[in-house]
Amino acid sequence: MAREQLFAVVAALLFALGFYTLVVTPHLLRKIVALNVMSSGVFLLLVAVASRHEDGRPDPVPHAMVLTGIVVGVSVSALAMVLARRIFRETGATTLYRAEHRPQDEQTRE
Amino acid sequence: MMHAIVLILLVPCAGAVATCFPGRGLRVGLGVATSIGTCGAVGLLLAHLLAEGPQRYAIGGWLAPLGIVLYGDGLALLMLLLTAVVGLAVSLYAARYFEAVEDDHATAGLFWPLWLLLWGGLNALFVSGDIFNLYLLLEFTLLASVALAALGGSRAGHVSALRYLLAATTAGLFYLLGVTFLYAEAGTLDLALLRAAAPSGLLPVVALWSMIGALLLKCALVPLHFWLPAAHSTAPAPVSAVLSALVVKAGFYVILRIALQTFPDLAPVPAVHVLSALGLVALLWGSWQALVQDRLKMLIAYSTVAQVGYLFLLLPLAEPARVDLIAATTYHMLSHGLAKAAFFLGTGAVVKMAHSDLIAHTRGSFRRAPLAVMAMIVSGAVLAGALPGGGAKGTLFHLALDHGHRIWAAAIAAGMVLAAAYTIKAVRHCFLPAESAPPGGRSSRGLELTALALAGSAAALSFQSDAVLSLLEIAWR
Repeated sequence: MAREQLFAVVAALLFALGFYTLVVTPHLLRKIVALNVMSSGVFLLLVAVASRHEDGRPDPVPHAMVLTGIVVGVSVSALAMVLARRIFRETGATTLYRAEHRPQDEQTRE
Repeated sequence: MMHAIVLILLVPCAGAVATCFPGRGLRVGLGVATSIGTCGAVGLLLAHLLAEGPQRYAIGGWLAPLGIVLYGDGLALLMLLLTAVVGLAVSLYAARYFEAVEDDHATAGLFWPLWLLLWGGLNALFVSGDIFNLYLLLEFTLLASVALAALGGSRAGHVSALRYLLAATTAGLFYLLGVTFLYAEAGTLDLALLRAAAPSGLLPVVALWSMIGALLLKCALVPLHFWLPAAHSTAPAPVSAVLSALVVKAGFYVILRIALQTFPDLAPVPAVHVLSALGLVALLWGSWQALVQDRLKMLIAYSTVAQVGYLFLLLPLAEPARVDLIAATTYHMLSHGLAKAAFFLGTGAVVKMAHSDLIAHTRGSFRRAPLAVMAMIVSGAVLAGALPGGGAKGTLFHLALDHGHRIWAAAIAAGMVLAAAYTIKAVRHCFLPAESAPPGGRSSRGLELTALALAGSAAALSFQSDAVLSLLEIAWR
């Protein structure tokens, strides 16, 4: 029982840390990493839930959810990094704010 | 025999794979053929539903709790029909829209696979009967939506697409957290089994509100709308239409399913009143923001922020009014979906011709693109509830009055007036004479006709309000 509670506490910490960093840090790469830390928190919680089966054997459904969730996380990270790299190449900015507020070429979009 | 509920997923996804490969002409042909095929599959499912009642399909023969069950009832079917009508119009429109832009070869090539994947994902979402499956499909449609939103290729488009992705993925993790809590409590992911289990206590309430909070961002209720105006206005016109008309609705659809259908007793009353108040703010503030924009697509995007407010405004109506409430909000979702898509498509034709998104640059558009401007006016009239009977707005207005909520009724009336005002603002310059010789020729008749046909369907829905509402009641039983 103590082990599961440890898992749950660590999971909550990871989720909270990830969310905090995601909101507070402007740097895009850090945001993407923070998103992954946050999702690791949820996955850890799912692993803890899986171990709560009565007869001692783990429940396979949360494990399947973690695996599927990892696939989602990889896809989102990949798309986010492609967009971040494109923004960096176009503007040299590593944050959304700076990419939007460059002094030159404002309102040139047709 | 292949089950129709499988076809509505299989056809668009197969089309998405097929459109990845061939050359340009064949790709457009395949895309349009897939769209027609998907509409046919939805029609087949409708026939099955009318003949046999709600449809169930266990994927691979595996039943819940271990397997995933697809579930097609009346509400799901109405959303599928909305997606099919808007989807077909968008496909026909896109076939001409991207064709006309010579330098957009890569954009057009990416549009078809992404759009068909998004359509398949939305169809799957509407028939999904499993909270984890709903999570996956929300993320799946998000990935396709973000890639489509970035297709515009502008810097602003990339920035807004990335902001949309980061915000919605964060929301998705809160949703997944809620799913984890619910699974820990009830031991199942299936909506029907969860409803039967009826978990009570603190943890399910926290889970439910974690999920609802996440979905509020996905359907852009104020103040979680910050990502929407930029993302919806920088995308190409057919993409804007899909994002505003369908993808935003998917978030609210999941709220309907989970909060009203599966756990009607878990929502604490004060929290629902907060949602209603936010709906009120969204309605008034979003309409006002639309009114002060000087760019056409930004105006329409803020109109979406306002129209989402209507969905939440009447949410606190309790049990005896629940059926009417669900019917009225579903009606509004359908009406707004058709009208907003038509508005974006009509605007797309005007913007393409004027080579500018600024309202001031659309002078003389009515002479050169009369049907597109008509489409904007008709869909604006539907959004404002200005057609006889008032359409969805009239239904919501009467529902609020019947239950003695004068403030809500007043807000709805104010929203209708503001919608009329921003529609007039959007089209006013089109009727003014052009200042100089217009650059470029006429707009494409195909684009204009598609937009006008969609606006016509939105208007037709308004005139058939009684028939549609009775259909909704049948669907819910």
